[in-house]
Order: sequence, then C-alpha cells, then structure tokens
Amino acid sequence: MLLVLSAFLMVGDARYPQYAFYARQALGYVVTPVQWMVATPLQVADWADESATSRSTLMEENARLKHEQLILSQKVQQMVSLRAENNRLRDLLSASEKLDDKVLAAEVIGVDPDPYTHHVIINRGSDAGVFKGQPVLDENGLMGQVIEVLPFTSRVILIADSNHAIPVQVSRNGVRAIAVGTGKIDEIELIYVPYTADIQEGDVLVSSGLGQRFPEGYPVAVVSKVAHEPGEAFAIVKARPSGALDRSRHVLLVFSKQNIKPPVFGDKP
Amino acid sequence: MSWRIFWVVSVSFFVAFVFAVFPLPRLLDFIRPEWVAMTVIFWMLALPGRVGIFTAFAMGLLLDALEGHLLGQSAFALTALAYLTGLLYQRLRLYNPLQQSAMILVLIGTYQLMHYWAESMILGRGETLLVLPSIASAIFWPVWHGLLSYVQQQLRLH
Repeated sequence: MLLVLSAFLMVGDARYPQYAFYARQALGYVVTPVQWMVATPLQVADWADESATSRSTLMEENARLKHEQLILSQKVQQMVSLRAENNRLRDLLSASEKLDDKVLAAEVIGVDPDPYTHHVIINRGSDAGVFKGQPVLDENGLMGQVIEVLPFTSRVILIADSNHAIPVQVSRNGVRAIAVGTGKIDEIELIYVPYTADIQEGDVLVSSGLGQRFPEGYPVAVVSKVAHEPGEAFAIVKARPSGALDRSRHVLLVFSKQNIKPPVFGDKP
Repeated sequence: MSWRIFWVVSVSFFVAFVFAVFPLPRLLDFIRPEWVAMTVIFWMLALPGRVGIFTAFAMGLLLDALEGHLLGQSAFALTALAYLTGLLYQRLRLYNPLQQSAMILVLIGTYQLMHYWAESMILGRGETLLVLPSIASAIFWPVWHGLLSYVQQQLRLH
C-alpha cells in the first residue's frame, strides 16, 4: 500500500511540481537542521581559522583589500559615466534602458552527496525570497541556478551538471551557442556549433539572456579547446567555467530587473 | 512506542542523515554507504513491531527532501527494503555479524536497484555503479550495528 502511495508521490512530483512544492516546503522544516548540522564543522573550521590568524597576516590582508578596493572604486567611477553614455546611446537606438541587478549574498553550506550530479546547498530559502530558476553567481562568473527552494535553504544546480544548459554568446563577436554541462566540474561544452563559426580558444563566453532565465552579460566560461573532427556534424568546443564551481563558498543570488519573471514553480530548469 | 524509544530512534536517524549528506571527496561519494537504509534495518531487527514499514516510509520521504530526489523515490525503495527485512528478520537476528553483512549486501543492493528503477522509470535517467554503495554498506554494517546495539543496551530499550 505504501509502495503504491510512494509511486503516486513520485509521479505526482514529476508531473505536478506546483503541488509537490508545498510538500517539499513542509519536509524542508524537518531536514534543514540536518543541513545545518552538516555545515557546522566547516563553519567552525572557518571561524577557528579566522580567530587564529596572526595580526601581521590580517594587516597584510587588510592592506591588500584596501588596494583592491581603490582599484575597484576607480573602475566604478569610470563605469558611472560609461553607463550613462551607454544608456544615452541606447536611448538613441530606442532600446530599453539597462538597469542594475539586485543581488542577495548567500553561502554554500553543502554539496550534494550524489556523485552523478553537481548540486550545492545554499543557506537562503523561500524566507529570503529565493525562487526557482533564480541565477546564482560567484565573484568570477555564473555558477548555476536554483532548482529547489526549501524554507531556509535551497538547492542550486551548477552549470557543469550534465542536466544543465545555458544560452551563451562569445563576447568578442556575439556568436550565439548553447553551453551544456558535461558532468565534469571544470568543463562545459558548446553544442551545435557549425564548423565555420568564429570561436577561438581563449574566447570569453557570456550569458546571452536569450533563455529569459539568466541575465545578460555575465561571464560563463572561457573556451579551452576547439576541434574539428572530420566526420562529426559540428565542431567540438570545450570551455572552462569562469566561476569557481567547486571552490566558491560565497555566492550571489540575482534578482534581475531586465527580464523579471514571476516565480513559476512548474518550470523545468 | 515509548518516548524514550522514539527519541533514541529519531536521534540515530538524525545521525544517519548527517552521514548521508556529509561532504566527502568526490571519489568517496561513489562508495558512500546507505546509512539511512542500514539504520532502518537495524531498528527493525532490534525493535521488531516498533519500527517498521511506516517508519521506513517516513524516513524515505525525509531523505528525498534532503537529497533532492523525486519526492517518494527513497520512500518507495525504503518501504520495499523494510518489507523484505520484515520477511527476513527472524533469520537475520540469529546470524553472526559476518553473515548479516552478506545479507545486508543483498538487501541494500535491492534497495539501490529499486531506487534506480524508480528514477529511470519516471525521469528516464539514473545513476549507475549501484554495487559500490552496497559493498560499502556491508563493510560498515558490523561497526554501525555494534554502535547502535551498544546504545540500545546502555539505554535498555526493548
């Protein structure tokens, strides 16, 4: 009887995710302590590391950060005028104005134990306004998107997962392609790239925003290999994700204003 | 079920859940024992009639929410596992740990298979390399069994 019930549940979850969402939320209240418990040793280690750092190291780090901050603020100054100019030009072309994205900082507190997937758990959930399909960044580039929201935590699928695909374009010339995960944490692949496409090693791939899911213009990966196999219909293009998928602890959740989509629970990522 | 038993069983499952998702190096992930399934089997042997199929089902649901599987996938597999254990528990209780380990290999193997079936039937994909976690579970069974039965005897739960 319970076997039948669980079979119904599984089919229900696969077909009607909008109802399963509430069941997951309810179960989420029970499993969240486990996720916190798992994250505790890491956080204790972090804390111990921080409190045991010597004064000189801290001062060094402080100086380095100040230096970086100076460089960044200089860049920001330029950016203000550049953005104004950009918006004026876009105005002339009567294109829509580009807006800043709102972001929410989160911390990775767990990694999925399943060795066949690349998921991570972050410490923000529906209480912080996280929604399914929300893009996730780290300081270097795009990391992935939220696929499951629990009350206080959520699950993020990384772009290297073999079930993930993202529309990208080459920043150099705007050639569009689709980047799919290969299952290897440090490699993604461009599919259906014609032989003649102008893609070279070292090209930076940025999100194109065409899927209406990811905001436009965030770095996704750097092309690491372009090969033309005689007999294959398309060129083989491999790229290395820009974000530190397996190392980042601090990530950003983007609330994009460019292409605001209401949270749709039934959406497949 | 008395409150004491309820708490001890809950705490043991909590520990099993933590082990089940504790971050490990990628290679070790392939041989992670099925802690929750082992805990279900242990309590079914230790407290037959108190812990059974319903507990297995509930724990399966929680495991699904925790690991992000289809809701009901682990519940399905754990229920089947509990049913099999229910058929076998009188024999299993008489075995020595080594013989038990051999049975655990078969039981957890079945559990993994059900898990895989459910996933591949509904989503059309699933993980392979099912054997390694069952072997790891069989190896870790005497340790986990020893630990839990020590707790059980210290607290005189019957």
